[in-house]
Amino acid sequence: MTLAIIRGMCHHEPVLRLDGLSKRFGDVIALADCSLSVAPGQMLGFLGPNGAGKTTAMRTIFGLVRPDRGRVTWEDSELTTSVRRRIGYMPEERGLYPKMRVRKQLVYFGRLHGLDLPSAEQAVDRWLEVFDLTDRANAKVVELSHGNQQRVQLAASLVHDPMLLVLDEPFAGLDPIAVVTMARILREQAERGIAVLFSSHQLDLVEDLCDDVAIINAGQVILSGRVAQLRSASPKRYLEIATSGPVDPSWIDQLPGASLVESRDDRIRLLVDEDANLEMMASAATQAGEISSFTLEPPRLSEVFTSAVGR
Amino acid sequence: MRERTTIVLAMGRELNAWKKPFLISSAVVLAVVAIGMTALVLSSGGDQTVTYQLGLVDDPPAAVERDIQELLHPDGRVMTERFPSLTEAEAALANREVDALVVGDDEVVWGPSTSNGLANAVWLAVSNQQVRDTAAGLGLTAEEANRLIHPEIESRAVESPEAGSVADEVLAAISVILMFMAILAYGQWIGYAVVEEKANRVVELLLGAIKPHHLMLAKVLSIGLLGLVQIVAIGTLALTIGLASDRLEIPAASASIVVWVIVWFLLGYAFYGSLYAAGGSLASNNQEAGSVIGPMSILVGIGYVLGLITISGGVDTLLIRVTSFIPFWAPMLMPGRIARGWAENWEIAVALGVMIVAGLTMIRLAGRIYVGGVARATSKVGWREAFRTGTDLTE
Ligand SMILES: Nc1ncnc2c1ncn2[C@@H]1O[C@H](COP(=O)(O)OP(=O)(O)OP(=O)(O)O)[C@@H](O)[C@H]1O
Ligand SMILES: [Mg+2]
Repeated sequence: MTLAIIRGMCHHEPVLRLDGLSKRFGDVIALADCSLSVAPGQMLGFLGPNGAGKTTAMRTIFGLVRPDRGRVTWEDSELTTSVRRRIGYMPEERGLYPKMRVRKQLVYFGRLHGLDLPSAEQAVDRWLEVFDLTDRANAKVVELSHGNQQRVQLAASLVHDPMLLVLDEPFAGLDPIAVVTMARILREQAERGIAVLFSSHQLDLVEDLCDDVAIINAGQVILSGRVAQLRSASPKRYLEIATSGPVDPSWIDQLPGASLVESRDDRIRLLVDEDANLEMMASAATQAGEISSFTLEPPRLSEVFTSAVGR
Repeated sequence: MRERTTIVLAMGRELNAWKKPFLISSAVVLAVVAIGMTALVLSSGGDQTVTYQLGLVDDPPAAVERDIQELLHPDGRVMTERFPSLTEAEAALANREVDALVVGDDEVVWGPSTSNGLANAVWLAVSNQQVRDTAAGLGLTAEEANRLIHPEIESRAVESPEAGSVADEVLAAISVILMFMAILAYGQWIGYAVVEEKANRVVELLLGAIKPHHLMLAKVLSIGLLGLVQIVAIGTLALTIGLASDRLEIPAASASIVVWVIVWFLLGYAFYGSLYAAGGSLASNNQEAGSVIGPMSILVGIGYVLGLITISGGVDTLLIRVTSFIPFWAPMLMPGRIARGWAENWEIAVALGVMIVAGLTMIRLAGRIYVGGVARATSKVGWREAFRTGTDLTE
């Protein structure tokens, strides 16, 4: 195990801080006292419904949006262009030169972010390999499929070996295999000690991938912390019952203190009251069918999210 | 240091992106210039000398014919035809086969095709011959006789200040057209280069690594470099063709006009180039770009129209004089006025001063608008809004 991996697992002081950001566009309040921070080695999932302000918050990091109030700091000082060059950014609206060739373009971005020509070329070739794009190196970006363009876009945020990755919905538009690759790469980066901030609407994926999340709603971070803690901090408990054959769901109606959340052929999910009698439920369930598992668990991240944003 | 590397990198990419359109447009423009100049050379040097047919009867002295040739030079020359009798000669004169007759050493006959120029030359030549004969009779030497014929008179001409030579006019026209095309073409290239980066959103990625006004600077410098190379190439080609042929009278001022055109191109380009960059930064796609860039091109076009008036009107009107100091049009009008010799030194100096100040102000102003506009991806931004949210270049 390398030192970087150990570092990645430790808790560090945050390097990037968004501090009390407010921004309005005319009548629209995009950010309202929004604060969050990311530490080296931390992979922070940035969640929120559409229009919550995720993209706006991320754009403030690059000076693309100037907040009306609040500030963005790197190690407690204002961000400068030379610090921004050590950040990798994947904008929500993907942006590359459509007619420029893939390799040439990535080398250009690498150099613009401070690499010299040989290191840029070396890094680009490595990332093209990782993303399985070596044979498209001399294709124009516009000739690539959407998913491959997305890979080039991610490569563009990685070539210069950034200290922080800011990725706006990096998983949108990827096929399941690419999602796995992308997730693996992000995890590797975090393990190397790089701070990763990414937004996503794929909550199950975020739950698997991240230790930490920040949930934003109407421009304000309303919930943030470790995924496990957020889940267990919720007073709600769910009963997940797996059966080995079809189950007649009618028995649930007679159960006190439980309500059906979701029911599939061989799986039932119930929201149970805190004072519910689990033993009684277990025996009721056994009568309805053959049980293969019976688990009491805290809410999933998606359930934490839904109740937090109140929808 | 790092900032300079970034600017150079961005310039390199820009130059690469414009390589193809630049080479194509250069090839077209240079071909047009080469063809146009060649046509001009051929038409102007061509046969402008008039050839007259002179009928000779009774062997006039050879000195008469020589004098006529000398007197007509360089605008005309004579071909002679001898006639055995005056009757045949007069018939030829009446039929316009010859333009005038010299009979012996003391008679001239005019016909329907005799021009004033020819009549003067023939008259004078015959009269000279008689002076020579008389002088010889009086015992004067040939040299003394010549003094009688060619009295020492110093002659010179005062030119009207407003009527320059044809070459000056052509030069002025070329400079106006060149300025118009160069500023319009390269200005628009900048505008569209800026919009393109906004439209495909790559600018969001760039701005993380390069300061917005450096990005603008890289664009203005690299596209301006292309424009400069093209103008110098055109000027060199035109001068070379002009000088290579001795038929076209290239005024001595030509080389200095080429230098003036380059100077005014640089100033006009700095002014309009940054204006186009600012305009481009307000649009988020090509359709919007048209509505912002269009009005600016009209401004350039006004200069072009005024410039054409300068040339074809042939008069340095008050309108032209005044507008040639206004930075929007000075780059198109001043080189033309200089080419026609209308601009006084102080006028050139003042116009240059005004233009330099205006250019610097425009760069500053446009830089601020660009900074305010370039990061706003979602919709068209107003000039004032961009100016308000932008930051000064020094920040
Ligand atoms: N340039 C702008 N001009 C006007 N309104 C804007 C601008 N940028 C963002 N907004 C508004 O600010 C709010 C926050 O938008 P933002 O894009 O940050 O949301 P988001 O969380 O990224 O949403 P999504 O999940 O849909 O990407 C929205 O109401 C949006 O319409
Ligand atoms: Mg967004």
